[in-house]
Amino acid sequence: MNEESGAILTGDEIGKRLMEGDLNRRLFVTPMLSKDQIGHASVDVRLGNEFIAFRRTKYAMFDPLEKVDKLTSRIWDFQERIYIPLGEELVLHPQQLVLGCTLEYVSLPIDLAAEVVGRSSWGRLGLILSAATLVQPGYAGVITLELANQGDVPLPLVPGIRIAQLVIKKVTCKKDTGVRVLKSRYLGSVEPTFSKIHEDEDFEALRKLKEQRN
Amino acid sequence: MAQPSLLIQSLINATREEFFYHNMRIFQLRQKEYPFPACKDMLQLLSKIDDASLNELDKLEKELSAAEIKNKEYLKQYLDKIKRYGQLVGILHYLLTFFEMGSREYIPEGTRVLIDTIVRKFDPNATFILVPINEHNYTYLDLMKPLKKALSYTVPNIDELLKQCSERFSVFGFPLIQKENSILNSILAHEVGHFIDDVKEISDKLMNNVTLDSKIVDRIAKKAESTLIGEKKEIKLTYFISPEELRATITKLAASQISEWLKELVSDAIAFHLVGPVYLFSLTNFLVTVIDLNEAASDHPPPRMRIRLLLDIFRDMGYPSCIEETKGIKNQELPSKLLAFVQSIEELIESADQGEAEDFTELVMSAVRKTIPALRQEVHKAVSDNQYNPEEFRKEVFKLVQLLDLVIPPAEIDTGKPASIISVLNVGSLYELMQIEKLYEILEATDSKKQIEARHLLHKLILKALELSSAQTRMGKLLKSRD
Repeated sequence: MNEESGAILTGDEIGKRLMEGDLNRRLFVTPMLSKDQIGHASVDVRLGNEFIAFRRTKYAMFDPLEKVDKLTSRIWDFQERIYIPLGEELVLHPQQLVLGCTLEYVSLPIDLAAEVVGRSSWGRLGLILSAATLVQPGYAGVITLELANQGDVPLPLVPGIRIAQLVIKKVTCKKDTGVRVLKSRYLGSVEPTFSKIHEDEDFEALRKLKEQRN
Repeated sequence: MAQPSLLIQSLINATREEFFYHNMRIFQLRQKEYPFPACKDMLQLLSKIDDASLNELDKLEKELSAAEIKNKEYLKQYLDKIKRYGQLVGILHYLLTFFEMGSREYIPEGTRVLIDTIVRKFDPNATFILVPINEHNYTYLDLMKPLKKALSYTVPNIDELLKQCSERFSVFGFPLIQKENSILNSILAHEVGHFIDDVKEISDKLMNNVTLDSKIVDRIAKKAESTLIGEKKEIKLTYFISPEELRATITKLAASQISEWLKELVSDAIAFHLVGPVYLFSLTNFLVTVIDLNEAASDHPPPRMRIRLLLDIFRDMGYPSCIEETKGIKNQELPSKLLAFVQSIEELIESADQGEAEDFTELVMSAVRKTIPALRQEVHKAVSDNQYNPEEFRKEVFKLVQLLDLVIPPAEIDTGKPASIISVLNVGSLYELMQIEKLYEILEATDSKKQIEARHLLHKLILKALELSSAQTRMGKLLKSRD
């Protein structure tokens, strides 16, 4: 295998990494429902069953400059959690954003990163994966997807359907420390995760500036 | 005679109102999302029963206005009819409590998969729901029994309505606070055991072979005969009851308790056959943390007896030898740790002071002990085709456990091959008991609060694995058939 840093893994290389005997080097995309999910240079991922819709009626805005204790205690008030079983659908209306997640639990070894790219077939209907998500090496969890309907007609979101592709990239790993899992704020996610932007350290400084102004 | 008819009229109105509010509540409940389709089917049936009952009350009202209530006997007949509908609506209200909590928000998908797998191993067409309860307990109830009884005296032609329903409608209860702990919730297999016992009548058949030790019966009877009762302890019990009647009463009480104990032991044995060692570990954890090992109740044998039975089945099904084999093949500490853990349970139940049981408990216990070989044979006969095998345990569990070390839900044996749901439960149990330190290390969980969070993450990974394994089995089949 000729995996160079920054290079995108081919379908064959992805297949080999999925079957790698050394668990520390294996790429996990679990469950793999069908072999043809592996494309020429990507692996398709499916839509999971859980969603977070935004409650619009209770609060005027989500203000990350609000005091962190206050915000953390009512973070759930902004979210409506929805579970859609296999065989049913969630209707996403024009201009609506929901958070979904991949059906697959993805775990990357320390020398691979992944980019989540929306499938063009969905994009042509108006469904946009709003942000290109970079999945860091050492990550383990489902991948939260920001799903927005930019079209004019409501779209059904059907759990189990192929929704995006993971483009896997090789990253330079100077020294093999034997550590596979890197502790992060989203490690072990099994459902879509609401924004934790307010936990950013930068906001601490910005909150202080706001207090000084007041 | 206007007064009695006015009274009855007001009683009819009050009962009718009860049915009306019951139906309104059903309408509200039908808006909820339920993980089991049987919930909405039952709500529909209850709604039809409301309609039929309201029709019957209308008929009764018409009858009443036409009738001349001439005497007290006639009045009593009307009151009795109305009372039956009052009792029926009371039961219908009670049944709705199961649907208040059975909605999706309280039942994670992994927990649904767990109970669905265990029940359908035995009966693919069973009708059942799962309901979280606000106590630290697991329960089983067949809703059709109280419903049929209440309906039999009221709505005529109800048989036609009930024909559309299955014979049983099982409700399995689990503690709400443990909704994400599927490892502990493997105890639900015991409640499924009650359901299977109900269908197969195993404990009822066993009762035919029960023999009581007549010496112990005599000893209890003699002690009772010499007992003095009354305020001043001056009256002999035999003044009220003959020695023969006394012995008959003792026998009857003992038979009733033996029957209850056998039901529990049969369900324990079934549970172990269905889900394997996870049941032994979860039940031991559940019982030993709240009940003394020797504490017997009228409806439950002492934990020592229950755990002893499970340890014997664990040994006789061949788990120790299967695990021993793994020790040689895999370079892991886990098989040795597992065997040592089982040994420690064995020592715990053997070493603790058994004390001297009361005569009556001894009578029940000796009769139940004699029945155990037949019990095990009957259970084996009933569920051996659907049991979880040591070989499956050996092949899957020790492989899956490595995934948890990488914070990955143990859903697949190999890429594209789903793990069995029961293996997922077992791997979770083993990891929690014997290898959780590795997760603590990854998550840098050095204090107790962080360690609890790490255990919670483990429970979530197991729930996810149950969900993914089930999705893969269901969807994978369809995708393959397409290829």
